[in-house]
Amino acid sequence: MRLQEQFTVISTLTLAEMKGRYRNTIAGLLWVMFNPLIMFSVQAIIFKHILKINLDRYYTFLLSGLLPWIFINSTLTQTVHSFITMREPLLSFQIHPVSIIISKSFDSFFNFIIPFTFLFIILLPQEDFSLTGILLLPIPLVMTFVATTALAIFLATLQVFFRDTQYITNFILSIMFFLTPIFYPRHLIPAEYQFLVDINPLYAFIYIFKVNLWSFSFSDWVNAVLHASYFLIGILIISTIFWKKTRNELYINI
Amino acid sequence: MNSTSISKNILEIKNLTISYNFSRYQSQGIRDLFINIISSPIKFFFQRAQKIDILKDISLEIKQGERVALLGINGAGKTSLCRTISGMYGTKKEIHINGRLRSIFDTASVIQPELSGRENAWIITNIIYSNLTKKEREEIVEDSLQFSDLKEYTEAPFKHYSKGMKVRLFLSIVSAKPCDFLILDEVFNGADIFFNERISERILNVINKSGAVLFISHSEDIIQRVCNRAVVLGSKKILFDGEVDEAIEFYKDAYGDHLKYEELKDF
Repeated sequence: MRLQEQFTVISTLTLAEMKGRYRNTIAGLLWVMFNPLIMFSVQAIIFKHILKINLDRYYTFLLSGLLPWIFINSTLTQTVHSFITMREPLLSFQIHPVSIIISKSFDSFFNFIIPFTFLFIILLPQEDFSLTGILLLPIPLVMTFVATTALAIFLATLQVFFRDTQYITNFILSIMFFLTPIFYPRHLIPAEYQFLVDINPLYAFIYIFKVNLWSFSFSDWVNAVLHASYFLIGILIISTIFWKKTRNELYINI
Repeated sequence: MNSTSISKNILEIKNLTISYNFSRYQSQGIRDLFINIISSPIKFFFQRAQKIDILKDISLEIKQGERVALLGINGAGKTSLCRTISGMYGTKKEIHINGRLRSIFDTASVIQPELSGRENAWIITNIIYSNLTKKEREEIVEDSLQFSDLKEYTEAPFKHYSKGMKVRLFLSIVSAKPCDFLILDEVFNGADIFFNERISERILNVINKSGAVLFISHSEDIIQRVCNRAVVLGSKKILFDGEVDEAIEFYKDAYGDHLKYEELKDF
């Protein structure tokens, strides 16, 4: 299938996903905004005003960590059973299974980028941002999207063969939320546990956002991008190999 | 076999074997796994995957202008063969297709149940006809909605459609344009007899205009109307390949009398 045709299929499925999700809801697409905004507001109030976490520019710190996390989390949890739930159309006509995951990932990405931009515009006049950091934002956005989509393809394929995958994914993501320095700074983690952050693939991508928006320095940014690139390449290799090995048995098992 | 404008090969299959690996099927909980490992560890770790051959070492050629019916009892491998040709089980070097393939296996499929019939028609059209321009796809949607005669139901949510209504819409879309190679698996199931009359003409028209067709149906009448060649599958191989009437005769003869042929008892 040519690239143009792939684009038609993926954009159609993405639009269908977006339309279908909020059909028959009163607030409709506003839920795209509400959910992350409420999460952001609640965490900002709890950690900044109740627990009084001592961190400069905490709202930006939270924005650069929490919203990418919500994107990764929602994409993985919503796509993990996609091949099973889309069994009927997959077996009915020729849709490339990966295009289903990519379309859901795009849907999730739009749901992330709209509140992210909205909160960023609100914070822009109040806080000092690095212009270079802002201009370099497309890099972590693309890297996070590609890594999350590749991971989603891996998990959705694994779910076809091992139905425990969705429960394990939800469980691990719940734990990772607290283990990843999203709403607290990394220096609060004791030195003996710092290696856990270094080997955390999700933090590798979130950290680039933090450098871009919260504490920009070019050398830090290059290091962060390089560090995340290793994980990105690893995720892409594992997902591709697993997909190629299991692809022939996918339709039989869904 | 009908000899109408036979020229280039649309489909070439050489020595294809289709087998399913059943080892991952067995639903084993942690308890079962533990018991299996303890009771026979060697067997557990070194046992080979259980493979079941559906079709073994088959070869088939379909030329331009041929409309081939696949006959065989349930489990003979008709749908597996069609899905393998469609690339659903990965790319196979034993299969070569000349031209663009369109294959349909279920005509009551739902992609977004919350969306209307019109919106689902737009989705299905964009997927099936992704090679056409936006304008052409829009024309197919309008034409299909009109042909399906669903009237005010076109704007109703797809989840409220009966199976027959879904089939109407789907078949109207599928039969909108011909293609190089068409695979249709039991597409007439579900529509009412009055609509079947109308859609049959439309599908026959698209079949006649398409390069070649591989057709699965349990209706003798439809097969005789649609096809000019028939292949009987059974016992993991091609048992008969030739004229439609002779193939139906062979099929009835083989299966009608309680699996007369010893070799067919596998199924």
